[in-house]
Amino acid sequence: MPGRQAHGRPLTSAPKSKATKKSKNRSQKNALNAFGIAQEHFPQKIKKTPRYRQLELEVERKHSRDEEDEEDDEDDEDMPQRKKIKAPRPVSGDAEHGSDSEGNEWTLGGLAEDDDDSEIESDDAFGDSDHEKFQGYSFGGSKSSKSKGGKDDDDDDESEDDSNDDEGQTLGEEAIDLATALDQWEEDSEEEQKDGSQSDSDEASGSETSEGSDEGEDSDEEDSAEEGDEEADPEQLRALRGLVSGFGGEEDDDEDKAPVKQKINLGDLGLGGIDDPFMKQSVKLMKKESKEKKPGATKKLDVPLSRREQGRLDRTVAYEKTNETLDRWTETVKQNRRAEHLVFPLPENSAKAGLDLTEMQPLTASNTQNELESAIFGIMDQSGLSMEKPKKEKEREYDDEGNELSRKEILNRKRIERELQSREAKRAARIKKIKSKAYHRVHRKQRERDEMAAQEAMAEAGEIDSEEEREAQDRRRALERVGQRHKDSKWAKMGSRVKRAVWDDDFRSGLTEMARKDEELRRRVEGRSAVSDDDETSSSGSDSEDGGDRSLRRQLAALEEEDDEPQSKLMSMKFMQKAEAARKQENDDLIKQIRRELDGEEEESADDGGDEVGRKQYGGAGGKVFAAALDTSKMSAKKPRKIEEDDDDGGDVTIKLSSNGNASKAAPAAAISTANTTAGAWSSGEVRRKKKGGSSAKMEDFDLNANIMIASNGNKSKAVKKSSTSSQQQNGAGHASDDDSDDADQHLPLAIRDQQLVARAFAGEDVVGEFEREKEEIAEQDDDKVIDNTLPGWGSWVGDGVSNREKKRHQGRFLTKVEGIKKNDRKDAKLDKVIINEKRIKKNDRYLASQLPHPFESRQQYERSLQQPVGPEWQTKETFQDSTKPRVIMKQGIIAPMSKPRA
Amino acid sequence: MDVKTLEKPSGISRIFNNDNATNNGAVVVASRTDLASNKQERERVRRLREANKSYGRGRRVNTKDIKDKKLRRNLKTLNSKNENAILKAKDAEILLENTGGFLEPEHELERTYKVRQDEIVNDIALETAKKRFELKLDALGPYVFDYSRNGRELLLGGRKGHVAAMDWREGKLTCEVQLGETVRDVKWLHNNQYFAASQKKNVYIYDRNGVELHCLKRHQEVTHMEFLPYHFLLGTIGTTGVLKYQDVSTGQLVAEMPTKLGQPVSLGQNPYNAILHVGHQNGAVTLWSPNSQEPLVKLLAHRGPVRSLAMDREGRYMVSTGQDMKMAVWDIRMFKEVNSYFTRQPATSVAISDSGLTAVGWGTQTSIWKGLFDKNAPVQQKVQSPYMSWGGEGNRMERVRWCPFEDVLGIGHENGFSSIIVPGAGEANFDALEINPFENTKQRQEAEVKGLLNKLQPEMIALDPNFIGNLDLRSDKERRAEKDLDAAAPDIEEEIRNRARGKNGALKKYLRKQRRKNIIDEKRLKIDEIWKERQKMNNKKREEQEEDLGPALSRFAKRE
Repeated sequence: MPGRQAHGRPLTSAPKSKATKKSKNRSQKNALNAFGIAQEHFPQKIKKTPRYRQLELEVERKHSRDEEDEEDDEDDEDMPQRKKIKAPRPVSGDAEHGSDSEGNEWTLGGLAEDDDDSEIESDDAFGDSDHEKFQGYSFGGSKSSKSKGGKDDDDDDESEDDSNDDEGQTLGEEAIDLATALDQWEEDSEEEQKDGSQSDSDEASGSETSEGSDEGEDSDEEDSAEEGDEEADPEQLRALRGLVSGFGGEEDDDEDKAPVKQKINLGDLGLGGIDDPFMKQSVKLMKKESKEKKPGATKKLDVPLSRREQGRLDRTVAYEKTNETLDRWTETVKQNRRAEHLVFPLPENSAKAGLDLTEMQPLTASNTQNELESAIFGIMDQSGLSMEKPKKEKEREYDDEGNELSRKEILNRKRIERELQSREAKRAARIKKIKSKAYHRVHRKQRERDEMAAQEAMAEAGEIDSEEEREAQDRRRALERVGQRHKDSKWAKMGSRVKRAVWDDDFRSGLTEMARKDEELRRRVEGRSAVSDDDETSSSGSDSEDGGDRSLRRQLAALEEEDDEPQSKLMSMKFMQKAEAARKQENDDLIKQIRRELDGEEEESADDGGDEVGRKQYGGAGGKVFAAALDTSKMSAKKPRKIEEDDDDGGDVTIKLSSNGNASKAAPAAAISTANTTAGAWSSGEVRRKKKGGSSAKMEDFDLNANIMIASNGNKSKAVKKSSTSSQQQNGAGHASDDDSDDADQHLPLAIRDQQLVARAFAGEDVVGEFEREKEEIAEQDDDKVIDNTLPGWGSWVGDGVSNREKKRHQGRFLTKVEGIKKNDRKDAKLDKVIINEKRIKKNDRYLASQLPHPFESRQQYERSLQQPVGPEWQTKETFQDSTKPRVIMKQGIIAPMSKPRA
Repeated sequence: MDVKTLEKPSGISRIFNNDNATNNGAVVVASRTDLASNKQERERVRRLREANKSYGRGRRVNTKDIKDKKLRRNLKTLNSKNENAILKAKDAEILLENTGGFLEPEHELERTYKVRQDEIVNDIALETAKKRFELKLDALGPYVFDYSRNGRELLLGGRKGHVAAMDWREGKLTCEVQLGETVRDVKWLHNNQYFAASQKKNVYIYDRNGVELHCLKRHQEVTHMEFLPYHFLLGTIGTTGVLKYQDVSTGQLVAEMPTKLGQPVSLGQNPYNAILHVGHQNGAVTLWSPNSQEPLVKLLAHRGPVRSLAMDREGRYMVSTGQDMKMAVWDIRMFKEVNSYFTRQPATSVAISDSGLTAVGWGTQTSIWKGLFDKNAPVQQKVQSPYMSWGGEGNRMERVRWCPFEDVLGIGHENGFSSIIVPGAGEANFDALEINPFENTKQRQEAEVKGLLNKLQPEMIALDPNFIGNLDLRSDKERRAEKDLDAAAPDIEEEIRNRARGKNGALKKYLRKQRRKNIIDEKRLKIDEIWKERQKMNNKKREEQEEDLGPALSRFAKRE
């Protein structure tokens, strides 16, 4: 049972079901009066709003007074609670109905109540005057409890009221004379005796059902008892009587009276001759009962309790009762306590509480809201008046064997078909795209080749530098070198001593300039123009040739791999396969063609790579080494993090090391030390010397290196080809590296070269090393510490003549350990190049909570409760208003109290 | 029989229902509704996840193992409230009517960095096109500048003493002064009414009309300045390498910290947590709050001087450029280097816009990078080419800054100032209650008062700005160890006296109110003592009075 709760509604009873007026031709009416029937079936619960109350006021006014009185009495008098609600009698499916010998039809439902006899109410039948006359007399089957004890007066009043009320209505068509009523009763009783079995129970049912249904004042208990009477065969009746006699109170009176009446009546009526076994039995029964009663009756009454004790008992009971009534409020109180917001006056009390303000929608069978409506729709549907269109039969799909397919399967099928259709088309589109790319590439190569040819022609014509010119260039270079600022110059030394670079922009730019010049000169030696690089300012956006080529090949491979696809049933059909095969063939051809183009182009480029190298370089071996080095550095730059360290400690140096077979991933400290030893940073004379010395010997290594680099980048066919044509290897490698360096130029040539340069420039200041040292130092400081608290002279001798051994013995006597932060627990333990301060910032403590506030059980809970911001800046207006809404909101005006919760 | 007519419909309707059931299958119907609810549920979860991504505030608390019923219920409602708030915030996005957009290449070969300013200007609305302008100021040296917080006003400072403030959209000059001294940096304070200029020796504060208001003598030879708008703190650092915080609302010097790393090269603030980042000569970047004498974090970003640095709006990433011709992107919550890029020349200035575009001024050029960092990406991509570029006209870049709420980048260089248009740079939807670009005088004044009322204390600055109210996790031992045992016991009477001021005696009122409470502690005992003393004094006074007045009139003695 859900907790009962107070609501704004008054405690008026549930709606009275107003029995509809019956008609004779009921079968006809039933069909038409669907609504009435349905309503009777399912009494609609109408909310009692103030407005509704007003409407009902007139009707209820007279009853309500009594009800209130009684309600008050209830608690005081400790009487069994009676239902005040006039609920309609439920009509069960197997409602009783039948007819007696006279042809009077009767039913237990409200339906068959149209015969007039049953309409008579015993109470109504009594007039005021009659009351006096018939005092003390009671009708046989009818309820006679009204002439009883303490409750008598109340009930009399009530019946009087009722009769007064109903006089207007009941004394119209349906009322009959008391005399006739009596006559009828007499007749009936006579007939009963003839009929025997059905005797009085019939009459009782006749009068009582009417009473029960019309006069709601009767309690359910009585109703049920009486209903039981109706058809009861004597055994049942007896059992019931016994049961009833078990109860005290009102029912007892009935029993008490009956035997007395019986004694009188049997004799008086002259029915002694009748030897109806049932009758006798019942008479016996009554006698027995009366005998039984006697011991109780003859027993002495107990001495009444003393006043105090009685009072105490009364009080306990009253207390319990009061508690009971108060307990009804528990749920309400709970609810209100838990509620986030309370609004007074309560919404249930407002004028339009019960009104359904939603828009009216046409009713359909699907959106009926209560049983009544659905019942009506049922009826209408049955009588062929349904408003809905007949449902369309769903289309069903069948597979090849004619089995019905479920929805899911259908969907799956469709999806597969769609995919199959589109797959080849997609593939074709992709190939087309690749093809166009390859096309462009091939054409560009063509163009380049043309240019090359033109250049050759120019060279032959003597337009490009000759021997003399080269000579002159060398001379110029030498001259420039003489006049240049260099690393060992006085200027540079002075500058580095006072660290001018740090604050003097001029000096800094001078340094840069110097480095640039130096680099330029070196490059000239290598036979490349410095200018071309410097001019290059295009950004690093375009993807490299190689990368593009590789990606093309990858795509092609992927396309080829795609062939093995799961075959569906549809695809296993012959014509589909054929079409598919044709398409596939086309696509494959295209792929092959592109592949051929790519490979062919490769060969060509490899071919003309040869003379290109011979022509372009005059630096000889050195140039190649440098190119290779550049190449590797560029490659490594592509792989993001790995090479970073290398970059940091000067690209050239590390690359050299690695080519010499050292581990390329030397520890940074080691790398730095090498840099320090080798580098007078700027000049890098040693490096170059090294290069010169080792270059010829290491040539092969480098080229191989480069080759591997390229090969490992996925161009397998190329690598294979190269290895097979070993004679061309040198040239090919040279070409490749050349190409790559060109690429590098396109990308960030300056940046990279400057990078190396810069690395060299800053090699003098060992910032990384210093940083590491500092970090180490700080970690050491914060770590656990052991403090020696030993005071010389405390517990030992000091001064001259104390041996060292003695001193040492006393040294570590009082040690205290100060807890710090262990090195592994530091926040920056796993971060390089970061030092995080582990000291607590005391000023921030002011804004910390010193204790966990009361209701919370853990830190998470508490801190979570702070997570949601309060201000309007960080949340929507709605949320903000919700969060700041007061708990109790009282509107202006009269605030009606909460009404009593219903039991 | 009659009853049959009654029964029939229901029976038939039942049959009808059964009919339906056989057609659709009762189970199917049930499962369908089940599916629908499932779908709804899934949809709800998806929405919540999305909302959490942008508005989430931590994980929800597990309420299942809470024993206390009331607490459990409270936390449950709290959870649901939080959830609700997040969803509402997400839903409110519909009210953001403006959307930002970037330049998009139409095909593969098109590059956005090739788009030139005149092309953009030709293609945009006239009013927007006006925002592209050049100021030719070639006499008074490289220009530094600053936009006011709402992007409305521009403050220009030429190295050789030329300072000018202007409403740049209308081209109205509000003030122009020649200071006759080197000007190293200029900075607007909380609104367009005041600005600070660091001159040859001291920092001066001027009002809008160029009238000198203050001379901050404690800030000497300042090279860089930053203003923390929510704390009203002006942070300066000069050639001596001492970082100073000055509260501009109270005028007090809040903190003074020597960096001990020589003359700094750059200074930037993290708008998320008001931490100042200082870039040093040795490539280190130190993070400072006014609450500690040591840097909170020190990281080695470069191998040469850190020329410039900038933090993104959400405080997640830092971009720094160094003399070593590198541009490093750091995750400054994890303190990890995310990426590093090469620059052709050492970049002199970096700025990050509200939408995450990064402008880098190097040499005579400025390139603008898009997507250097993306908070939603698990691994940051290395960008291959810049988004836009500008320059190459021989003007050495001095400073780049984004104009708030505009697609405009300001560039100060040696020959003046340029304002260029960068589509997609600004925050499209501004919160006018926070910063209003279109504010009038009244609104500005109100915002100022509000800002002062909501001013954050300098002690609230920390790496994690959400620390406020969190639980102090020190152990009792630690606390006791840190307690100053020599400190004088607080004088309760004095404390009370100072606490509440009013017409009535503060102490009296306090005593009256506090004595009613049933909390007995040390303080209370003290209060009682005072109370009794007072009572005694009062009684004595009254008795004296009564005596004075004599037996007949004693009843009129004044009671207290």
